[in-house]
Amino acid sequence: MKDEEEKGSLLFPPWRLMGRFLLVTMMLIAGTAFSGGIIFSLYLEITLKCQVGILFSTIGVFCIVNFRVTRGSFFCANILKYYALILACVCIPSLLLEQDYLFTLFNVFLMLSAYYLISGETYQKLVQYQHDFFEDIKEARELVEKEIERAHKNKRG
Amino acid sequence: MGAHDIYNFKENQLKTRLAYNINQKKLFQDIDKIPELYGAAVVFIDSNYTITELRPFDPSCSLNPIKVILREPPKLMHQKEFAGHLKGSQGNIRESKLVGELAGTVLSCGAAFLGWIAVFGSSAAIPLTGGTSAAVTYLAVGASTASSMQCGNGLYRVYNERRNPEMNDFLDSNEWYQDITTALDIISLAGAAAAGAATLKTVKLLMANSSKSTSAILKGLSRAEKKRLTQDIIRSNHPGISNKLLKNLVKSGRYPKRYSGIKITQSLKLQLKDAIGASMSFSGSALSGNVNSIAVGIYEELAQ
Repeated sequence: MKDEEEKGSLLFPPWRLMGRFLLVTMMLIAGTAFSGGIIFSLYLEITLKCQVGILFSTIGVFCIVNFRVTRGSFFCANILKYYALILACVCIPSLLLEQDYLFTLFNVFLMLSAYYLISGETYQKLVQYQHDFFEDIKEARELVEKEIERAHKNKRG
Repeated sequence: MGAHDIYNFKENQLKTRLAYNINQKKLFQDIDKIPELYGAAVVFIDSNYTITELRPFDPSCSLNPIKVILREPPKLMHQKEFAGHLKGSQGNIRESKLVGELAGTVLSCGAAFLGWIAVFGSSAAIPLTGGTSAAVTYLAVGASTASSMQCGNGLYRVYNERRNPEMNDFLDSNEWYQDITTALDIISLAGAAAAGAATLKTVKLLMANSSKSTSAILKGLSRAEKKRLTQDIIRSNHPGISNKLLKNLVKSGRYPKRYSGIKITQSLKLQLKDAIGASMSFSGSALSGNVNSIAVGIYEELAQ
């Protein structure tokens, strides 16, 4: 814990925390692509254009939410957690529908792991770290702005 | 010289080459030993698709013309693929495509991975870079999103390659799909350009404040240089700030006296990572995306 606090003084958050975030990000991108493939091949009969459109839009929205997590948003972290759970749940019925279930099983495992990791202490610590970091910057900026305003007033006076 | 003359020239060149490389007399004799092929025409197609007839068809033994075609693998086609293609079996081609898809996906996902590190760190570098990092952050987010989409697209294609390979062929045949990958490539390249420009700007800023070489700057700055640099950064953040106020702010502890060497080098590392991440996006798209043709062009040039 002490080590983490020391590392926290540098520009990057502690690598252990950031590594967890990156792992979850990659898992969710993979889960989105694989679940998309499973959904489009088993549940939905839509045109190829729509398939690619839905896939890219979902990843785009995911990236925005993920970016908000890097800015310390607990709400967005929760969205990702339930997103992982939804992707896992969506794939479960396909286990009964198709013969080659290993791929789907892998995807379900991947998404449940992502859910577990997001709920875990390390990921939440990272969000807390980022949240505190940006709060500190905001506070420091406000202080500097006040100082400058005061200095300008004194100059005029 | 017209196109026809150029083709004739190429054909003659091919004929000369084959005259040296193939014992044509023996080849014709061997062909004629096969009763079904007796008198068959012999045609040769080289790797550049130049066609030449080595021997015309002799109609004395067969009414229907028979042609024995000898064909070199096309320059850009792997030998294994070519064999599979000629046999009419798609198995080998599919296998190679899966490997290609996986390679492109790994690169795109690697780019996305590095991109997210840059996004993460560049927002933390905002206080150090005096706000310039904020703009780079949003560009980095754009580049990371594009790389993430390419990564997702690659994984989706890997899934298709395993489950429904025709889907990928159908995707490739659509113009709109090519347009989307073009857009993603442009965003990734814009991210690369922005990251490169930001890196140069930072190095220039550092060089302006130091008499040291670039490599020495990247290693670290002296204490006095760091102090001067810190003051310059604060001034660039607040152009109206006076020296007196600056000193007061430093005294009150609201501004640091100097940034540590580790913080400065971390900031540079971050921007270099961003540049590498964006260049990996480029490599990823070079394998499976829009930049494909350009990359091939370069390789041809190097080969010559």
